[in-house]
Amino acid sequence: MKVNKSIISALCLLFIFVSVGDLIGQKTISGTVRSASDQEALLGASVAIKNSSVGTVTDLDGKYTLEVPDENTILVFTYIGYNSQELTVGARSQIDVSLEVSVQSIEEVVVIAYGETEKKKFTGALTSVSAEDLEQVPQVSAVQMMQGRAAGVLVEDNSGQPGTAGSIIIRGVGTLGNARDPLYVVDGTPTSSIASLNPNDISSISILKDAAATSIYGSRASNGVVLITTKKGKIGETQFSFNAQYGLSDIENPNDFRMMNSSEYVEYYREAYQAAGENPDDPNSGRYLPLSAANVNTDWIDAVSQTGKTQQIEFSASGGSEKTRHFASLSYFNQEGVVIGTNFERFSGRLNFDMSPVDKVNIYLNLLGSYTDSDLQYSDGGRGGTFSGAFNVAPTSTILATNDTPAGLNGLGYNFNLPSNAGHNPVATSDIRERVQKGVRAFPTLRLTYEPVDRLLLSTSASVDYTFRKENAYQSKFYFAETDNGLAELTTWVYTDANFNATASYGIDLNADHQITPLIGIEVYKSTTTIESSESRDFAFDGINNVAAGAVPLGSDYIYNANTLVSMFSRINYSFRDKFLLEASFRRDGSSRFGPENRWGDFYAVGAGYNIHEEAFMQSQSLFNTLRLRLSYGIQGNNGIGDFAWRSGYGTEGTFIVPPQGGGTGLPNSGAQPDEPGNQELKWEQSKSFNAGIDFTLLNNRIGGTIEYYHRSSVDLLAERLISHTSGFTSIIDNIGDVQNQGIEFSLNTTNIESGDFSWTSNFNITFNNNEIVELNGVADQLFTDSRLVRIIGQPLDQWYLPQYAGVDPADGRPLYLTEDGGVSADINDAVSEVSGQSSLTPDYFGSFTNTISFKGLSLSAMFYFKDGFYVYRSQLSSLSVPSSNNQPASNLARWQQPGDQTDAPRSDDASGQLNSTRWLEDGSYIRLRNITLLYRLPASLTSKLGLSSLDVSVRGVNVLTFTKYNGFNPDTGLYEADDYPIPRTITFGLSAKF
Amino acid sequence: MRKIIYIYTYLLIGVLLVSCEDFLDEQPRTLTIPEVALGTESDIVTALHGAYSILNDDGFAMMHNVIADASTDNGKVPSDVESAGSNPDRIPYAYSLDLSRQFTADALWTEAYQLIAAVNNVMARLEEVEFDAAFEARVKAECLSLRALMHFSLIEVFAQDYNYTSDQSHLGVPYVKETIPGSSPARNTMAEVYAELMADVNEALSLFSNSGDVLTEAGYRQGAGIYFFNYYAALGLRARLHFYKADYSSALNDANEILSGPYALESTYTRGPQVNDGVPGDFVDQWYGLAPILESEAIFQLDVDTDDGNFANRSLIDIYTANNGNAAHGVSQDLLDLYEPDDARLGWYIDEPATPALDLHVFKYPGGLGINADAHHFPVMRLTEFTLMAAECEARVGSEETARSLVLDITDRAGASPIVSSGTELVEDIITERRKELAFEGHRLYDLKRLQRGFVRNDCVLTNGNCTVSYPTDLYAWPIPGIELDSNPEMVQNSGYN
Repeated sequence: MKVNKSIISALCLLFIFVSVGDLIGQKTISGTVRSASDQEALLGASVAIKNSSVGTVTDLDGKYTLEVPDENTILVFTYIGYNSQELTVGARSQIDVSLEVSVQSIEEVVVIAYGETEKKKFTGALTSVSAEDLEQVPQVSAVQMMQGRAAGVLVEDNSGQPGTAGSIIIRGVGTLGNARDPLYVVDGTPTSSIASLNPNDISSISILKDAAATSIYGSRASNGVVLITTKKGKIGETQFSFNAQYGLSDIENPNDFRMMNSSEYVEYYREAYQAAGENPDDPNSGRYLPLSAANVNTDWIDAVSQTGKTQQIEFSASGGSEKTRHFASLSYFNQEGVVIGTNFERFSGRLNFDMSPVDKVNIYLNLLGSYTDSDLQYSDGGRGGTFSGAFNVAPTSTILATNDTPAGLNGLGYNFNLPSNAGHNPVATSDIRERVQKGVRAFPTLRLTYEPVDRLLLSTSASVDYTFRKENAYQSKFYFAETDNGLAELTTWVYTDANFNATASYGIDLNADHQITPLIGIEVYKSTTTIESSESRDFAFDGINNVAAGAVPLGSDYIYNANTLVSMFSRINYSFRDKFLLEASFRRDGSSRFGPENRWGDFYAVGAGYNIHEEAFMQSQSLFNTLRLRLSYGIQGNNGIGDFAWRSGYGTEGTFIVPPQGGGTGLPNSGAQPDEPGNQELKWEQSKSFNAGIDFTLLNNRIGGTIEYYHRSSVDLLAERLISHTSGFTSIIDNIGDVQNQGIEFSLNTTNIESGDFSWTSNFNITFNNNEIVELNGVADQLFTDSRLVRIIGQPLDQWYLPQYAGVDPADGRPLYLTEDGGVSADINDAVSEVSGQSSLTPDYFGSFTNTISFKGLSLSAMFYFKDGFYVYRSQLSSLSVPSSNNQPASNLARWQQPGDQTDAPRSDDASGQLNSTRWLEDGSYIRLRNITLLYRLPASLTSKLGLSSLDVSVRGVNVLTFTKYNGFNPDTGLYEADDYPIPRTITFGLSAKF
Repeated sequence: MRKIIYIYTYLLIGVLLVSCEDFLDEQPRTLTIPEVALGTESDIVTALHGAYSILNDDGFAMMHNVIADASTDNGKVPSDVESAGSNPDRIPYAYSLDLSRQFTADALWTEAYQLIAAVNNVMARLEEVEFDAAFEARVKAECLSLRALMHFSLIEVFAQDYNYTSDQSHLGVPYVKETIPGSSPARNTMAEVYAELMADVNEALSLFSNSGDVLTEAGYRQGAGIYFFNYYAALGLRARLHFYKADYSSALNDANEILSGPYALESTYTRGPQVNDGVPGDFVDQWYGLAPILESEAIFQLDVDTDDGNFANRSLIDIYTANNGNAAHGVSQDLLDLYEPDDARLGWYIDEPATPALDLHVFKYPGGLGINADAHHFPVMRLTEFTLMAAECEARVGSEETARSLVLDITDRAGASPIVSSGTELVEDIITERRKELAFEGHRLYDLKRLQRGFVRNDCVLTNGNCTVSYPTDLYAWPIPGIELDSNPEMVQNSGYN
C-alpha cells in the first residue's frame, strides 16, 4: 500500500503547487486533522479558506500547512463522511482539528433507484437492511439473509439442497405467470440472479416495495425491487479481515416424524395381506412376508441422512484515500448437505476500485467472479430421489446385496431386489448415480461519474453478467432399477445479461425553502439464454461415462431465449423546507417481448411526504422525534413473459417418416408445423399500486416504527385464453387476468435499555397480505393449475383442491369422504373436492421478533420467525400405496383393526385411503427460532497485543427450534417438495479477525 | 450548465433511437415466421410434410378408427381389461357410449383442425409467392385432399349422416378454409359442408390429373407413394363422399375408375405360424409385420411408428392388444359369429394370453410383435373397400351378376363361401361381407349411419341401455368437445349432450 500512498502524496503536492500561485501568504498555519472517534489521522482531508479557492489537503499523517491572509480568515475542514468544521484562525499558528463522524449521513442515507437519498426525504415504501443486521445472520445465501428482516417480504427456502437460492415474494403475488421474483439490482446493475453472490460481500440491501420506490424501474418493477450494495473500500489504512466459519447441520424433525420400522412393517402388512385373503407365510404367494422378515431392520431415511458440514474461509482487504479506494475479497464456501451425496462449493472473488484520478471525475470498477460446484440428488423426488425414495423402501430390505440377492439385482454390491420401491435403492442412487453442476460467473461493472459543477452528477455505467453452467448426470449401468444400461446427460446453460445506463441528476435550491432534484436517464439491456442438452445410453464400461461413449444417442435439445429493453426515465423530487416532499417518476420502456404495435409501455408514480415533526406546533411536544406521513400511487409493469410469446411461427417438428416402396427403414421427410399462434396485441402486465405509510420515532428515538397499508391491483395479466380449436391452436397468450393484493405491514424497533455497556434492542415486524383473483382467463370461474391446485375467482391465488377426508368408518375401517350433500361416502368418486379454510399455500400473516442484548464485547441476538395459516401437501406420503409393499408412516400404526375402533388411519388393506385427499394436507404454521447469534468481541487491549484491531468469536444457529403442529421435517417448502429435501438446521462457529 | 445536460442526453437518446427498433427486434432461433419459413419450394414441402405427420397422431390414426368399431356391434370390452384400459386416452366410453362434452373424440377435433390449419397456411403461401406451376398444382392438390379428408372425418364422428334431414339442413362442422387464430367459426350445415367437400376434392382431382409426382421427382420427397395423396386417393375420397351420401351411381363411377387403376387385389389370405411366441395362434400372413399391408392394393396408408417419430400416443396395438397394459377394446361375439369356421380372416383375432382362455383380441395390426412394439401400418384406403363399394352399388342398381363377381374375389381369398343371393338379400350380404372384411379398419359406425340403421349387441355387458341402439339416435353425432364450446361462442352442441 506504500506505493499507493506515495502517489496520493504526490498528487496532493501537485495540488499545493497549483494553489501556490494564487497565494499572497501572510501567515502560515499548520496542524493535524484527526477523526474524533479514534484519533486516527485523516489523509486527504481538505483544508480551505472560506469563500476562496485557496486550500490544501492533509498528508499521510493528517498534517497540513497553509498560508492565510490574516487573522480573520475562516478555515473550512472537510472530509467525506464527517461533519465539516469552520474555525477562525485568530492568533493561532497551529490548529489541530478533530472531525466528528457524520452520524446523520450514515444512518439516514438509503440506497434508492439510481442513487441515494436521505430517508426523511423519501416518499416511497422501502426497507433497508444494514450491514450490522446482516452480520447477525449466518450467511448462507443472499436471499436467506432477508428472511424476517423486512415487513412485506416473504422469503421461502424451497429446498434444503445446498446452494439453492430460495425465492422472495414482495407484497403478495400479482401475476398468474411464474415471474414472481423481484428485480435484483446489484450496485446499480439489474441482474437475473443473486444466487452465486457471496453474502459476505453485501454491505446493505434496500427492498423497494411501492410504486414511488419502484416505478422508475418500469416494466420490471411490479414484483418489487431488491437493491444490493456490495462492500467498498473506505478511506483509511488498508484493513485486512479474515473470517472462518465451521458449521454442522442436520434435519430438523420437530414432531418426531418417522416411517415404520421392520417389526411394525411386518405386523402391518401381514394384517393387510391376510385381510385381503393372501397367505404371507406361503413363499409362492405374491405377498410372502414371514415374521422373520423383521430381522432385517433398515432405517432408510436415516441411511440417506447425514450430518452436514459447512465451512467458509474468507479474506478481504479494504482501504484507500480520497483519491482511490479499493476492496478485494476472496472466499471459499463448502456445504455438505444433510442428504448423502449432496454438496455445494463456491469460490468467489471480488475486486473493486473507486478512483478519482481527476477532480470531479470518479471511476468505479467492480469485478465479481465465482465458481460453483454442486452435487445434486440425481432425481429430485419420487422413488428415484435419494431422500424421497427412502420413504418407500421396505425396512425389511437390506441396503447392500446379500447372498440371497439374485445376481442380476446385485449392482456394484448394492441390493436392487427392492420391489417396494420399483427396484430403486436410495443409497445406491447417491453413490452410483450422480448429477453434478458446475458454474462460472463473471460480472464486471464499470461506472464513470462526472460532477462538472456542485450537485450536478452525470453518470454512466456498463456491465456484463455472464454465467456458464454445465450439468453432467450419469447413471451407472449397474444401477439395476433402470434398464438403460447406463445413462448419461449433458446440459449447458449460458446466460449473458448486458446493461448500460446513463443518468444525470442535479440538486437545485431555488431558494432556502424550495429544493428540486431532477434526474433523467436512459438504459439499454439485453439478455440471452442458451440451453443445450444431449443424452445417451448403453455404456460399454462403467468408468467411461461421457455422453459420447453411450452406444445409443437419445437425442439433443436446444433452447434459445433473448430479449432486449430500451428505456428512458426521469424523476423529480421537490422538497419544501424538508417538510413537504413531492416526488414523481416516469419511465418509458421498449421491449422485444412485444410486437411492434405494443412495444412501448409507460410507467409512472407520484409520491408525497409530510414530515409533521418539522411543523412549528410539533416543536413544543417531546413525545415524537419524527413523524412522517407518506402516500404514493403509480403504475409498474411485469414483463416476465416468454421472450417470443407474441410471435407466431413454425417450429421444426412433424418430420414425416415413411418407408420406401416395398417397406424397409423409414425415410425422413423433414416437416414443420405452425408452432405458436402468437399475439401481436400482447402488452405489458400492469400493477396499479397505492401505498400509505406512517414513520415515527418516539421518546428520544428509543422507539421507531412504520405502519403501511398497500393496495395493488395487477391487471392485463398474461393468461392463456382458450380459442376455438378450429384454428389449429388451443389457446393464445393474452392480457386478461386480474389479481389484487392488499395488506398491512407493521414494524417496530425499540431500544429497551441502553445504559453504559449494556443495551437491549428489539425489532418486530408483521405482515398481513390478502390476495384475490378478480379475473382468470375471461371464461372460467376456476382453473386448475395441476390436479390438486385450483384458482378460483374471488379467492386467493393457488389453493389446494382435494377431496375432503372425513376420517374412518368405525364399522368397517374404510376411509370416508365428504359428499356434496353434506354426507359421507366411502367412495372417493362421490367425494366433493373443494377449497376450504384450510387450503391456502401462502400464510395469512408472517413476521419476526428479534431481540439483541449486548454487554461490553458480548452480544446475543435471537430472531423468532412466524408464519401462520398455510398448508402443506404431503404428496410423498399419499404416493405410498396400500396394500403394496411401500413402507408406511408410523402414524398408520393407529389403523382401524376391529369394528368400533375410532381412528383416523384406515384399515391396513384399504387402498383408497392413500388417494389424494385432505388426509395428506397439513397445517404448516410455525414459530421458529430462525436465527440465534452469540458473538464475543475480545477486548481491544487483548487484541492489540496480538496485532489485531479486532477479533470476534461467534456461535450462530439457523432453524434451531421450531414449534409447529406439522408432522414432517420442515414445513417451509415449495409445492409438493415437502419431503424431497428438507431444509436443515445449522449451527455455525465463527472466527473473525481484522488487522 | 443545463445545456450540457441536454446535449449529453439528447446525444445518447439520439444514438439509441436510431438503432432502437432494430435492437428491439430480437429473433427467436427455434421458431420461424411463415413469411420467412414458407418462401421456397423446399419450405413449402416441409410444411406440407409437417401437415401429413399430424395424420399419425391419436385423432386420426387411432381415435377415428377405434370409434367406428368400438361404438357399434363390432366392439366389446375384453373381460381382462385392466384399469389402464379405462384411461380416457383409450376412449373406453366409445364402447359404453357414455358420451359427454368431456368424454368425446376431442383429439380428433383438435388435430383435424390442426392439420387443416397447416394446409391452409401452405395454400395461403402458394397464393402469395410465385412458384412453378406444376409444383404449385401438386402441392395444392394434396392440401385440398387433406383438408377434405379431415373435414369428412369430422362429420363422420360429430354430425348425423347426410340424409338425416332431407334438405341437409342439420349441422355439420365448421368448414375452415382460412385459419384465423382467435376467430369463432360457426357450424356449417351438412349441405354447406358437402358443397365445400365436393369443391375441394373436385379441384384436387383436376390438379392431380394435370401434374405428375413432381415432389418426388424434384427430390423434395422420399418414400413410397402410398403414404401421400395422389389422384386415386383423392378419387377414393370422392367415391366415399358419394357413397356416404347414398348417391350410389356416382360412387360406382368413381369406384370403377379406381378398380381400373394401377392396383390389384391380394389373391389369397393365408394363415401362417406365428413368428414370435409371445402370442398364440396364427396370423393372416399378409397383415403381419412392419411392411405395408397388402401393398398391391394400397391406395393410401399410414405408417405409425412411435420409435421413429411418427407418433401416436396410443397406437392401435396399444388399444387392441396387451402390448402396453392390456387391451381396451375387443371383438364382439356378434362379429365373430359372422365368419365361417375356416375363414382365414379369423386369424385377425387371437386369444391372448392362451391360458386362461379369455376373449379374443384384435390382431389385425400385430406389427412386428416386439420389433418396434408400437409400430404398424394402417390402410386408410385399399382396393378392397372400393371393390365392396362397387359391389354394393352394382347390387343396388340391379347389376347383380357384376356385384356377385366383385365380391367373389373377397370371399375366395379368405376361404369363405361365395355369395349367391340376389335382390335385397344380396345387398344385405354385401353389407355383411363389408363388415367382416373391413372390421377394425374404421368403417362400421359410418356405414350404419349411411344405412340409417341402429344395431343390437347380443354379446354385451352394458347396463346403461346401450346394448341396443335404434336409428335415429343422438349417439350417432358425438358431442362437440367442451373445450371448443367454452372457447367458441358460436359453437352449438349436438342434440342430447347439454
